[in-house]
Amino acid sequence: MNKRTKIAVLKYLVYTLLMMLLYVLQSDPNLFYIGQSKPMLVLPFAVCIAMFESQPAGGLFGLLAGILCDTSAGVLFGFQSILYLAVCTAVGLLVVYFMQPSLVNSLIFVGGGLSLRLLLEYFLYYVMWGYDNTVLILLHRMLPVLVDTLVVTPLIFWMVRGLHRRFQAHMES
Amino acid sequence: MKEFFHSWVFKLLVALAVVMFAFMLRATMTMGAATVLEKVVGTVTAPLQSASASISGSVTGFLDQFLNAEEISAENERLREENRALIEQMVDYENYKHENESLREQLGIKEEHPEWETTTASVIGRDPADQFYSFTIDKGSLDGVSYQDPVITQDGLVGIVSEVGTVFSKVTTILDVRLNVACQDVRTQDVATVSGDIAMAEQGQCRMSLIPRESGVAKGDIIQTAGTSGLYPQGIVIGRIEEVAFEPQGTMMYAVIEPTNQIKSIKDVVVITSFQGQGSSLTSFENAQKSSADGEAGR
Repeated sequence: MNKRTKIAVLKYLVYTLLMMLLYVLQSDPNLFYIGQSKPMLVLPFAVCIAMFESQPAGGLFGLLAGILCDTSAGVLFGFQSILYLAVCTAVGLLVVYFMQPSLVNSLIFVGGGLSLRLLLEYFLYYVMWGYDNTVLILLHRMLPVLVDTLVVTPLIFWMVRGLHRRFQAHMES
Repeated sequence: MKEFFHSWVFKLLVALAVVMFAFMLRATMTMGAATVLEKVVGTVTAPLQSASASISGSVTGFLDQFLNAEEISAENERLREENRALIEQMVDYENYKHENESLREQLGIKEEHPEWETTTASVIGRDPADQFYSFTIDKGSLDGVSYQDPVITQDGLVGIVSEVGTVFSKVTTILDVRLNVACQDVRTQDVATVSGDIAMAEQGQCRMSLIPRESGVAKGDIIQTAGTSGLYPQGIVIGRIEEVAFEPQGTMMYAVIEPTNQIKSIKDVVVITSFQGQGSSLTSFENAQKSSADGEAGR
């Protein structure tokens, strides 16, 4: 194993451990509550990895983020895994061919990806079954989660960018 | 971009999506039992979540003393009032108890105390995107927890186990619109159904539906489980009636229930793993589904 490969392995190991840590923090019942909602941490992390590491790594980390979220969520297992795999692969492709890995774009990708997940859940789990007042779920529960997530996205973007640059510098040296 | 869609990487990602879809189908068939992948991930993450919840719980508990001093003082005052009312009730209770005992003796009724098997558990995870405050606990099939076991605290009913892993389980709360509990007014003995309501869940309340118009249920009545479904033992307190009103359509009434538990912030629970009459009123299909889920969870 040459030096570049070793650094690449170390990089993905660090990303995986950070993903686990963010998942534990995200699902902690006591931390990060802003009012009655709290942010999603693993989706922005996977999206940022997809932006900096291109589509294969992005897709795989999207899948990992989805599996972790499915483990603690009340939705059908696999729902978020497939969705985040597709979203992060698409993000990787968009960054490779059309867009820059910038903070504004990370907010667009995270906002788009999370909105898609929340809206799908909203229609499949509530609207389709004809419950009353479903719009309250959208406005009072889902929207705050989206806003909270967008607030923490810049921090995660800067963290992933810093790590990516550090590992990249080591590889080039 | 065309190259990517012809590459082996794209084929690998599609294959992974297909595998996840297969897991998804499996999860729909074995509703209540965690899939193999979920069990593996849950087994790895549950100890970390448990440690994190324990540490953060201690830290936030310590800080809350200072941050919520005013709130605690108000609560203290309210509890004093409640205590005074309870003492008065206690006097009545003792009188009724004495009368009841003598009546029992006279009638020769043997009181039946169904023995519950229980296990205590801690809340180790909550999904930020969950609308009805469902949570994950640190006990699973290894601890004897099964699909649809009731989850309670000393204060009353919390919810039901909706998915079982090896070392973790997911709990759906009584605030969830998908959960229905057969209930009974302690005073009037009227039987109805408690379920979640999207608007009420925001205030941490749930809805008691299908109350007959001629019923005498009133504000302040205590609601308990009726025990008719075979999912919950009879007599677990659910909450207190806050408001009674007529349904906009139809001839029934509904009531707003204030659960005795603070479901949004609950930290420790008790799972009733076995009780007399468990599953007795389930249909053969529901029983088969429960057995299948328990079998899957045990693997």
